[in-house]
Amino acid sequence: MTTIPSQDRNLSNHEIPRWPSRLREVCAELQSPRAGSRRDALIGEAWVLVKAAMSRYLRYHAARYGSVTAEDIEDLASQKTFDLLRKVELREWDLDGRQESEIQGFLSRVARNGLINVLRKGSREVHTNGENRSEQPVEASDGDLHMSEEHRPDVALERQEFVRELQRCVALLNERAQRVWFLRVFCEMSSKQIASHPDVRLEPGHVDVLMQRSRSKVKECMASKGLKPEDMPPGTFTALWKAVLLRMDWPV
Amino acid sequence: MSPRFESGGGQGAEYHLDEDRCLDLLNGLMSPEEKLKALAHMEVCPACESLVRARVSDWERSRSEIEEVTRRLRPEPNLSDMRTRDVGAPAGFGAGIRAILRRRAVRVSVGVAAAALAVITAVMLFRGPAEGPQLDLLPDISADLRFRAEEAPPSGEFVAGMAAYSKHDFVKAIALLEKAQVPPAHTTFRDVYLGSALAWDGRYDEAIAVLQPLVTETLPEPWGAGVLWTYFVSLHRSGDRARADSLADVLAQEPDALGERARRYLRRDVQSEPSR
Repeated sequence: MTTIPSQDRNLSNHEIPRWPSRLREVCAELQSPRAGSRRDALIGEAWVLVKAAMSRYLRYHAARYGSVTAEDIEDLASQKTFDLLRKVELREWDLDGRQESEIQGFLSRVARNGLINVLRKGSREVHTNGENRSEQPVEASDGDLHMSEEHRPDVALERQEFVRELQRCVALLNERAQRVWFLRVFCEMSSKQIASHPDVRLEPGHVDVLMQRSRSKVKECMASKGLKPEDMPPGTFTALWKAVLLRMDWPV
Repeated sequence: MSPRFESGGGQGAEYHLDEDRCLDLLNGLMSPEEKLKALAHMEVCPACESLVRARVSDWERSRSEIEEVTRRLRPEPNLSDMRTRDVGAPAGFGAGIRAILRRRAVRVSVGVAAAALAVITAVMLFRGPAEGPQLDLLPDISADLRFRAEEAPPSGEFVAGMAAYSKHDFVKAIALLEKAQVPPAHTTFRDVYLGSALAWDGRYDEAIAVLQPLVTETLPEPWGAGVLWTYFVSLHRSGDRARADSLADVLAQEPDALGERARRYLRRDVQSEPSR
């Protein structure tokens, strides 16, 4: 059996990912005359899919070709994704019959070329052969981090207790307030971003009011249990994500 | 398809999420078993949890951009159409909704004074916090106006009013747009944005009065849908639920995005009023 070097693991495919084929389906439906009233929903799905993939490839190539800021990556990912969706609408980008690996490769090339253009325009150093920097992607996992102490019984118990109590406190909020709280605390989204989130849809001012009240409630609730919400141990995000956004496993 | 994880039984060092799997997880493309396995692993692997948390954050931000993206990807209307008040009805949504509105005579010919009186009374009785259907911002075209100065020079107040609107300074936008002397070509345009600004400022009765004559106009999109929705929300928030519901019934017959919003509103409304 061949061992995959740890630094390559994040970009080597053990099996074919499913998002490229889903993207192909979405684009085909979008280009179909039957798209009709589903058009906006399809564009929305294509937007989040392509942008996520584009960001992923940009981060990867940034580690090879030159450093860029997170804002550069965000801007470039938005711009390239928008251009591609425009091409889908104009039928200039047709994924019909394309293999998953072709779709991945195409998006990766678009990201790389866009990144190189940005770096050249900004007169920043471009390592075109990718040899001057680590091959490791920007956010490639560090093997040491995976060697966690989470399996130690005392740590696991403490974590479980904290997460359970935090879940109980958050459960005191209504569903929309829970989402707003989660999007601010874990995703660090601005009021404006939260306000336009499809699961929230509030005016930004109302988001601030809701957030302030929610934060106070959670803080008070946690304080009554002798805990501080900011002392979140590993695993908290996952538990709250499941409960608040995925609506799974609410505490009894 | 078998789970796309490395072997290791789920808790070992060889069992981790990567970027592709994050994408599949977020897109709901994993089987329930894979999803549970991934989530269980995240709870005990800080690196994987950190990776997924970063991707969830990106993901939710992208979702917040969907409305803007879908709006921007719509075929761009020709702004010069705004000045043509009697153009033929376009095919599709716009024509359909306006035909229905005309046929049903949604009482837009009712005198503004009588309507305003009824609305003011209703506002005094029912005005509450801004809940229910939400207002939309109209597109920022203040930059475009400056480029169009050669064709039909807009007044300084008009341009400044549009710029204030684009910065969400609705009080200033209202003051400037109300004062602005505009050529006939820009009258409809000014009224569309003035009505929207009034609604955003919570002056729903005045927004209704300004927008009412426009709801049966043939306006290019997204302004046509924007006027209808703003008018509907203003009615709703002013307390005139009967007229708001009546308009929502009409809008809900359309298969487009605006129709879907109206249907959502009606479904929620019915559910929240069990006594009906």
